[in-house]
Amino acid sequence: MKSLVRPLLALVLLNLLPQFYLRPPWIAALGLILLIYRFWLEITRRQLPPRIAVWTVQAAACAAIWIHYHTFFGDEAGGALLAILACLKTFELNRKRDFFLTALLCILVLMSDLLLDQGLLITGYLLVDLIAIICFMLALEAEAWSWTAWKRYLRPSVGMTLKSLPLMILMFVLFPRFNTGFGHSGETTGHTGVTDSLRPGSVARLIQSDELVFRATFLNGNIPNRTQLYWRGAVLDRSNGINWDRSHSVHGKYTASNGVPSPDVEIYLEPGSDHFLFSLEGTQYLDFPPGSTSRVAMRDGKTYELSEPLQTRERYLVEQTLTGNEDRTPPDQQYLETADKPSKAVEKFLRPYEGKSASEVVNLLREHFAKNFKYSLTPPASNTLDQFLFKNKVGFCEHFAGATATLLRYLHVPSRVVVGFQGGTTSFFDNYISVRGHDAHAWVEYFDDVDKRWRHFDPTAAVEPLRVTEGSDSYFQEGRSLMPSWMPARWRGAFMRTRSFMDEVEANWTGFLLHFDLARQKELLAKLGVEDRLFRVLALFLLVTAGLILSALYFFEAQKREPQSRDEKLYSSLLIVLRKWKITRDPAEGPRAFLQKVYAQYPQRAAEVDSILSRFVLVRYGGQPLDDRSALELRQRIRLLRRFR
Amino acid sequence: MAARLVSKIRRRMVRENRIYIMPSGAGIVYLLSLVVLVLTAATYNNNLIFILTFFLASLFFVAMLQTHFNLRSVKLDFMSVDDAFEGDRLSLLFRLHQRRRGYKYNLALRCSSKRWATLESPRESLTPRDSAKSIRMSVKAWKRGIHPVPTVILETYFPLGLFRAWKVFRPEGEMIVYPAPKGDGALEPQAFEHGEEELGLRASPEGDFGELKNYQPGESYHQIAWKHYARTGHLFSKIHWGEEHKFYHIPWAPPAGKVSESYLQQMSQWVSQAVEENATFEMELPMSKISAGVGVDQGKQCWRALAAIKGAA
Repeated sequence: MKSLVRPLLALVLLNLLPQFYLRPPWIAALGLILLIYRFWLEITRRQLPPRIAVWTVQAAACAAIWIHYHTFFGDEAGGALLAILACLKTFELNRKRDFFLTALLCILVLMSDLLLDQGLLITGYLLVDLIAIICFMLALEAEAWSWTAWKRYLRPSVGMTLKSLPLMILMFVLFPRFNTGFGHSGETTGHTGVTDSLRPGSVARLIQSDELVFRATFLNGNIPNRTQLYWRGAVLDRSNGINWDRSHSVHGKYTASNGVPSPDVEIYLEPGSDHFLFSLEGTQYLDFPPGSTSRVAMRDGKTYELSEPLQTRERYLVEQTLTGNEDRTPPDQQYLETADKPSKAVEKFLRPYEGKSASEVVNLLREHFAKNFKYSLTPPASNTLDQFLFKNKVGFCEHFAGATATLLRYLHVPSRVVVGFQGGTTSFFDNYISVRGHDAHAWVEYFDDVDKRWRHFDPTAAVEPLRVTEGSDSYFQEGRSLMPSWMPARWRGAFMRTRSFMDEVEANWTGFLLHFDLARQKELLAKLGVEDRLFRVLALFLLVTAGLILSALYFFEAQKREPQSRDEKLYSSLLIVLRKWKITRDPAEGPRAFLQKVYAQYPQRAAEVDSILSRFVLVRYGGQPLDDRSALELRQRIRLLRRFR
Repeated sequence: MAARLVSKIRRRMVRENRIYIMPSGAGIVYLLSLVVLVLTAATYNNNLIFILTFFLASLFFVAMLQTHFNLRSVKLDFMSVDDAFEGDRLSLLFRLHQRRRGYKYNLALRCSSKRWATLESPRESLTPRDSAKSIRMSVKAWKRGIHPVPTVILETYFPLGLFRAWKVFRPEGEMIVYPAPKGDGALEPQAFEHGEEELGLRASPEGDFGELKNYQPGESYHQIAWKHYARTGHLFSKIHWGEEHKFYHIPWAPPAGKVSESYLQQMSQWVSQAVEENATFEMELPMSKISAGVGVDQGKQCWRALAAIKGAA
């Protein structure tokens, strides 16, 4: 039992590793300190601390977790508690049972990790950790562990893993997904940076971020041109010079209309991406995971959002239907209101535009910006409209959007600012688009009184068309420190491609995990011709096929041939060669009698066979086992015999 | 009566050399944690936790199969059992063998009976190289008498300890438990026969004996030349020379005519005293008499006779 303490500590340490990435640092640090202390006790063969001390630490850790989370349950607090408990359990290892319970605790810690993250990395970790846990359980059963003979445990544990896979896949597909009815709540943090207000610099701050916000899959397979990809997040309707805000409009509950046409776009929101739901222009319907429609609210300008932000690690799937229908909602008076009267300079500037139609004004403004303004990631501070329009003439997208929309309002054209994302990076296999922080953008929408519809106008595209056509990824390449500076330029391309490839794999994996629910199970069964009594049929299916798989495993195991040693394998390879020569050994035939046959039929080769065979006789009856070199030599000689004929 | 019926039914139901399998305590705890996992997965609608759960569940079944196969085609034959005094350990020797050669790990042997407490449960593994192995188990000799060899259980928890598979064997044989040598009744020798050897020979470096012979299992431990063993690692018995030779008569005279365990223990004590002193002795029994003899064999004969006496209070 004593020899199992160190492997157990290693196992607990392995399970502590993800805590550094998933949980507050103090939890992982506390676990690490406990483990190091335990390991020190182990190597110095010191006595374990008294039980009361362990209990005290346990109580203190519980108190700390309570102070941090104000609960012991839920994905965050519960997981932290489990991780600390697993570390503390290593201080009371008296019996075999304690070792087993610690290994089980490790499984529960693993489970709580998966609540927080389901990415590719954690999936790989899951596999490694499971094999390690099986190894440990094997060693625990044998009550022995040796660091040098780790293969003795690794091989069977990999074997058991492989044997478990078919049944696992079957259960995964057929196990009815039920709802326990317990809600879950956790902390939420938004990090997209898209906000309810537009201030100079608020979008520019985002372009440093490489964080994934969402992935969008176009189901018909054609990813539209990048210049058409304006992902609308929020509509800002209150103008205050160059600054814009969103009025607290009444939230209308989103009512899902029945019979939603087949979706065109699937958006996988990454965890923690605040409460905005991004959609392309012309989006008609949104489809949400079952049971969560009540969380969705509709806001002005056909934007959608969740009533509460996504949880820290929650992923969310939105299916959208693009109909190409324009927004023809007539504008309210609020889309004409401005905070201040235009200044003298602005009035003078606007004089040539007066009396023109909305589209004419927009075209003139576009020309003006393209001719006189510059686009910069680090523009000088422009706090007022005048400063930007007449003094600096350099700006980032929010400057152009904010200024343009306000100017339009001064000219009695209903307008608003839209914040969201523009473009995105096409995936490695062109399957989807991933939108990251640096794709953040702001643009203008105005009401065209001739067509009676809202149109979109991106003044940034007029000043710096490359930002839109090339995408932020390559446009900002120079300015951003995405890759370490020591990396040679030609590695950067490879780095980007690798990243893109890994992103694709990850997207498929998380998409699959997110996608497979009761609805998909229903679809699958419908394909098999089963429509109703879903749960009963699923359960029956599961039982029958699980039985089949288990009996297949049973027969596989039962048919297993007796394992042969290296020498026996060599000997049977010789017999196989001779069988090809049409010489077979009778079950009760000794080597001598057998050799007679060889001499009779192949006299010219019999001497060689004789010499090989007599070596085997020495092995079997003479107590002279083959060493590695002579085994190799024999193998070569048998191979040479095979070539004969 | 009912207990006898139950044991009769159990004997019918539980066949020899058949594999029985049940989740062990650890296996049940494992299953409970699977329930926790599946509830968590459903609550959070987390497919990766579903995957983890289903993997562990199928591992459970794979482990079940492997536990089963770890016991398949393994058989146990009863070889022999040494006699023992009451309260000592009875050492049973079995032969573990397999028909189809393969790897069988961590097979443990123990006695199913609660009375015959297993003192030492051996764990043995078989490889394709060895089709048979001898395996020794010891149980506590709890009561004087001649008993049938109790039912033994060959069990395994391999590979993960989640399942316990076992086979029941009912060896045919007898175990003889002598009465424990206890009591302080004195036994006076009836006669002395002096040895012919000269006392001078006693001055050997080993002490007061002159010759060593190979130690035979069953001989008294007191005769072992321990100093010699410490030096050479070989077991020898001391043969005392030139000692006076005693003759004992062990009577059958239970107090108040009642046969009691304590009297049998006293007789056992006398026999062991006689054997230790290498005296010639005879022993009376209620209906018979064991004629005079000497040595461990004579002692065994007497002890067995004492073990066979029935109806002692």
